[in-house]
Formats: sequence, C-alpha cells, structure tokens
Amino acid sequence: MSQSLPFKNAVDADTYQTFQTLLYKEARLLDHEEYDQWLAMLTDDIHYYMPVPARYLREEKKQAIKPLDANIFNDYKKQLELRIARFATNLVWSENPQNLINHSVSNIEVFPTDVEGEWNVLSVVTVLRSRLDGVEKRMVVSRNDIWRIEDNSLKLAKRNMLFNHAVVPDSNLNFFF
Amino acid sequence: MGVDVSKLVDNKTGRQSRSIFHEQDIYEQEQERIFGKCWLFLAHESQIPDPGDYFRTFMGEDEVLVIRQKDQSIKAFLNTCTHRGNRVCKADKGNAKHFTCSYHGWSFAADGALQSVPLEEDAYYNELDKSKFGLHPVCNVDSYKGLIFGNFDPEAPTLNDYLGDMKWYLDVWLDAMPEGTELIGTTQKVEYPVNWKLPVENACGDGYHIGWAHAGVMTVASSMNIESLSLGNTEVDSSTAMAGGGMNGHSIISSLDGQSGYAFYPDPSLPVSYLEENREAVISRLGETRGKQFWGSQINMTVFPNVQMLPGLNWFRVYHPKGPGKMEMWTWAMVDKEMSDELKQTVLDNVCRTFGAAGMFDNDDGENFAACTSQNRGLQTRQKDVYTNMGLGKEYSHPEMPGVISDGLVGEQNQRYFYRRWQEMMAAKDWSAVPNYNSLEEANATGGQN
Ligand code: FES
Ligand SMILES: [Fe+2]
Repeated sequence: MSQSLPFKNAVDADTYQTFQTLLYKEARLLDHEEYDQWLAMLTDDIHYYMPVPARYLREEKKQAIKPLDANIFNDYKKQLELRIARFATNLVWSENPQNLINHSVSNIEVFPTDVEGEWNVLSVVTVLRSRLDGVEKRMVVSRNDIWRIEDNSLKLAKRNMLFNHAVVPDSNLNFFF
Repeated sequence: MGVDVSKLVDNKTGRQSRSIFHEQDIYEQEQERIFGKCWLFLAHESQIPDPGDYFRTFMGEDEVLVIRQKDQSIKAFLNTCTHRGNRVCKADKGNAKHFTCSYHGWSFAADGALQSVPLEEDAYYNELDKSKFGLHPVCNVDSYKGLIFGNFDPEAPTLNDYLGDMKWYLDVWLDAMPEGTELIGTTQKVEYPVNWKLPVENACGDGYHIGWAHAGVMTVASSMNIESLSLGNTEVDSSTAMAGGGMNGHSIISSLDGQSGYAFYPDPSLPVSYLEENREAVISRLGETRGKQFWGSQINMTVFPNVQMLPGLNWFRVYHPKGPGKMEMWTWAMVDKEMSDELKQTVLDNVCRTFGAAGMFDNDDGENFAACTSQNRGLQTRQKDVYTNMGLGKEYSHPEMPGVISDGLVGEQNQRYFYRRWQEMMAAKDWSAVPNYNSLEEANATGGQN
C-alpha cells in the first residue's frame, strides 16, 4: 500500500542517485590523489571558489561581502592545474610520506536549474586528515555546485564553498575539498 | 629578575639555545619584556576609516580593540569588561556607537567611557562611580604612514624613534605613492603548532630556504628568474641583492632589480606595467636608489618583533603568540591606493594563491616550522643548540643604505640581529637598559651580550 508523501523531491530518484554516486566517486578520487581523473570531471570554465570566513555581528552582514575579498581558493582550471603540477613535481616535502585523507560527503540535495542539462547540487564534505605521528585534522566545508552535461558526461562547472572554521586549523591545505 | 638569557643566544657565533622555542617561563618573559614593551602592529588606518569603526586584534596574548574616534584619532583598549572581565566585543571588525558586554549589560562608548549600567539606581543605589570603570586603554597608540601601532609601556621610545632607520626602507612601500597603501580583504587566519619566532626569523632573512623548501612551487610557478636567489652567496654583490640588519632588530632583505617582486605572478605584465608607469614619479619621491633598485623588487621587511611585509608579493602579516608552541598567523594583501581595481584583485588573488591558507608557498613552510618547534619537546634534543652562522663577519656599512649590510638574499645576518634584539629585550627590565643602534658601528659599539 503506497501512500503519497506531502513532500515533493526536486528531482527523480534516478537523478538524485546519479549525483550521489558522482560525488562519492569524486571524493574517492580526491582521497587517492587521482588528480588527472579529477581534472577530467571539471568543465574548462570551472570556477572553484572558497572565500575567507569572518565573524561580523549579524546586523553588519553587509560588511561580510565586498568586491575585493580574500579567498582560500579562487581558481579557474589553469590555477587548479598549477596546484596539481606542484604536487606532481614530487618536491612538496610535506606530502611525503603521503598524508592519509578521507573525504566524507553528506547532506546532498539536487535541484534542477533554469538551464537545460545543468543541476545545482548542495553537499557537505568532511575532511579527516591524518598527519605525521597521528595528528588528526578535521575540516568541514559546505559546497554549492553547478554540474553540467558536457561531452556526454556530468562535469563540475562551479563550486562555491563555505569553510566552516574562523581560523584555518592546519599548516597546509595541500588538497581539494 | 626573570630568566637569565645571557647564555641562550650568542650573536658572535650565531648560536641559539633551543629552549627559547619551548620553555614556558621564557615565553612568559617574552609577554612581559617583548610584547609588553615593544610597539606592536594593531591595524592599518584603511581598515577603520570612519568614526566608530573598530578592529579586534591581539598584542601578545592580550586581546585589544582598536577604535576610530569622532575626531579621527585612534584609541585602543583591552577587550575586557571592567566589571567581571568578559569580552566586550566579539566581532572581528565593524562599526559601533557603543560596546555592550553580554554578561550584565555594561555599555562602553567608543572612547572607552562606561556609559550605562543596568539597574544603576535600583541595585547600585546610584553609588557606582562610572568614571572609574572605563575600558583599560593601551597607553600609547601612534601611526606611521598608515600603520597603527600600540605600546603598553609608558616609558617606551616614540614610535618614530622605535622604527629608527628602518623607516628609510619602510617608505619604499608606505611612501612610494602619494596616496599611500591600504590593506584589503578579510583577515586570513591560520593556526600553527609553531613558536612565533620561527616564521619571523624565516621571513626576516632566510632566502636560503626558498630554493629547497619551495622547490615544488618554484618549479611550476616562477615567471621570472631571480638571479639573486639562484646564485651562490659568493657570486652576488650588493648591486644584485642585499640584507640589512642591525636597526634595533628591524630588518630587510631585498633584490635590487626593481621588478622581481612580481616574479611569482604567472603573468606579471599588469603589475610590471604599473611599476614602469609610476617609476619616474617614485624616483622623484624616494630618490634613485630606492625608486630604481628597491621599488618593485623582491623585498622582505620585518618590524621587530612580529610584523612582516613583502612588497611585490604584497602580503602583510602579523604573528600572534598563543603559547610557546602555538601561534596564529594573520595575513592581508597590502596594495597602493592608486592601483586600479583590476590590479588590486590580481594582487589579492596572487597573495592568496602564494601565501594564503592554501597558498602554494606557505603550504611548504608550516611543516618545517612545526617540527623546528615540536622536536624540542624531547629533553635530550632541547639541550642541543641551533645555529644561524652563515656569512659571519661579512657585514659592512653602505654609504647610502642604513643598517648593517650583507650581500645577497641568501644569508643569516638578519636572523642573528633578530635574536640579538630578542636577547636584549629579554634581558632588560626597562627601556633604559635597552641598547640603541642602527649602523654597524653603533651595533659593534653596543656589543651584544654573549
Ligand atoms: S562582566 Fe561585563 S557587565 Fe558584568
Ligand atoms: Fe618560505
């Protein structure tokens, strides 16, 4: 006996599951530093953006958004490729031995957009990074993505992130969220 | 009395005891004798332009509130309520007419005066003398060309005297353009398990580590060849690059080519054309040497104890100590006000990509500093010494450039003078016991304790 629920999913179950699987796959590639495969999941006009968080009083919200603002990432494909090229030199001493890292993706929501073949996908990624001698760092980032069908596959076109820490808790961010 | 620091640093051999990066009692003495007595950076005037604008920061471990007054002057206060000690301001920055404590509701005006107290009549019987309970002021606040500094010691020299000959170099950035500079962007804060002195000694003089510690990013991100970095020390002379120390602990290292500050921009064309458009005007303001050789070069400047600025790479940074093994690094982009918005954005993005939280250069340094700190937890390890003895005895005087000069970006002269100043401040109970020197002759005449 099926009862229809008083809540409507924005997309059908198939679409939702497709994006869920896609985000899990992306997380796995990032865990394993499969950066070439990760780059292939991005559109050529990818914008990967994470502003620097600040704490203002609620009534001063306007303060928080300025045209010139600092960021942790404000990268297009060229800059992402540059970061990856740096890792690939094998001269980044802090990544040797390899740091153990796990990206857990949760809170996934999928919405259609006004553009045919584009979806707005929200998620939260929790990064657990095990550093030298068992030091563990945990970082939580909210992500607001645009995914687009291109070359017959789904590609990430935009990722706006919110870094949920007022002070960055690790001495390097040699990875992606 | 305090800890005897006479054996902890030896400027003649470039030796430091590792205990200075570890011991709690040494750290406490730093709070008293360095952060309690030196001029400390509070904010840039551009961050608090209007009356009521405030910025929350630290002087050592003391949290302070810097506030622009109605008459445009600037005051600073300990960010602590005079009733029971709660914080009176929790935001990073903003604009306020008054600061109301969240505990019992005492409210303070922008000039620190206690303005109102809940139940003043019913509970205090109108017997509270409000004039005695204003916020505790930082006794000295002064600015140098846009940079606001505070000092807790009423006996301290003036800011102008404190900066001394270093002003000649600071002006290469602060006074190159008629409108001066501004800090842009949200404060980028990163916590490091690091003693605060290690990043200071690094950026004050350590051109040595750049080729090796940053080998990865140097391989992929350099758009210009900085001769003075790739050459060995013996092959460079002061026409290629210099280090300037002495100067009461302040210091500079600089290339002298007038454009290598932008060597780590993937495309330096926009900043380089800005440099060349303004070069003549800067030469007429600052003279040939500073306008041609310094302005636009790769430069690291340090104001003792914890401020560093790198024009070209355009970052401005202060390190806040949080215990012997922990510090918070705050970074901004500093730009000339005259720059176009497009150039400011380019500079800001480059600061973030090179020296921000995910900055490709900064992300090489943290791990090294962290281990230079944590290894000293070992009792046997910390009884060993560490050294900054490169190029000992190669210092000289220059007819035009102030301070104690050495050749090249790769050297350890400035680190030695940083630790000499650290030792002098740590040994002195008050400012009358602190030696004053800028040049090599003065530095030699005032000795340096061993
Ligand atoms: S502690 Fe601030 S009002 Fe009581
Ligand atoms: Fe470095």
